[in-house]
Amino acid sequence: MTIQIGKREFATRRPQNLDVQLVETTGCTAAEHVDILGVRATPYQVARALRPFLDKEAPAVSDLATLIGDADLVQVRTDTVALLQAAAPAEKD
Amino acid sequence: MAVLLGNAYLAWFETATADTFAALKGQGTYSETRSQPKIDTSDKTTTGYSTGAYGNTEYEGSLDVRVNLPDPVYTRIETMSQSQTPIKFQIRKGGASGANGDAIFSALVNVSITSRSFNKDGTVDAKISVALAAAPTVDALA
Repeated sequence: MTIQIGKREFATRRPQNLDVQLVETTGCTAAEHVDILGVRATPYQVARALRPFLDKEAPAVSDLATLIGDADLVQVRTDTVALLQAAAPAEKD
Repeated sequence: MAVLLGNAYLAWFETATADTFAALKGQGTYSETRSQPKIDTSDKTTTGYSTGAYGNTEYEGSLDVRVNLPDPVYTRIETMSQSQTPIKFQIRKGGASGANGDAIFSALVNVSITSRSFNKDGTVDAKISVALAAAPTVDALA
């Protein structure tokens, strides 16, 4: 599966330890990011949630946020939420 | 009882693991203001004295932090502040070893990082404001 950000396309993979990575960088789990991105999403928040799904060679979070800011934020957010939902373990509660 | 000491009380926030709390690193003073508007219940016939009652309590907390990273709690507060998502919050006595039963204040709150200072010849300091998202479940000083 790939994700389109503006004119660029990135391969995505399912990370092994998604929650561990996300908690380290954002303090929140994948399930919480689904909630957060559903209500309000800035390019930076989308970039942080999306980064674990991309290869090592892909841009870092700050560059990714710039790319997303210049692209269709709603579309990237929708794709990121879909990735999170597919990879997230059972939701909290 | 003895005189209470402020250093014994720390602010704890719920982590990414539900119902598990952790104390924020680098905490300084936590102060809260509670204001209850006064309701005048008197009229001309209340025999020379005005009478009054108090309305709902408006609670606001303010926490000084000397930022110390990496700290998943601070990072989580930052994320919650930016996404305007409520987080469970407690003030516990007993310092760093405070347990759930040591909570003297517990509520679901909205947090906001209201200031950051990158001090010359100094540390990076932040202020976190706390507003209630729901009525507190514990609110009794001990």
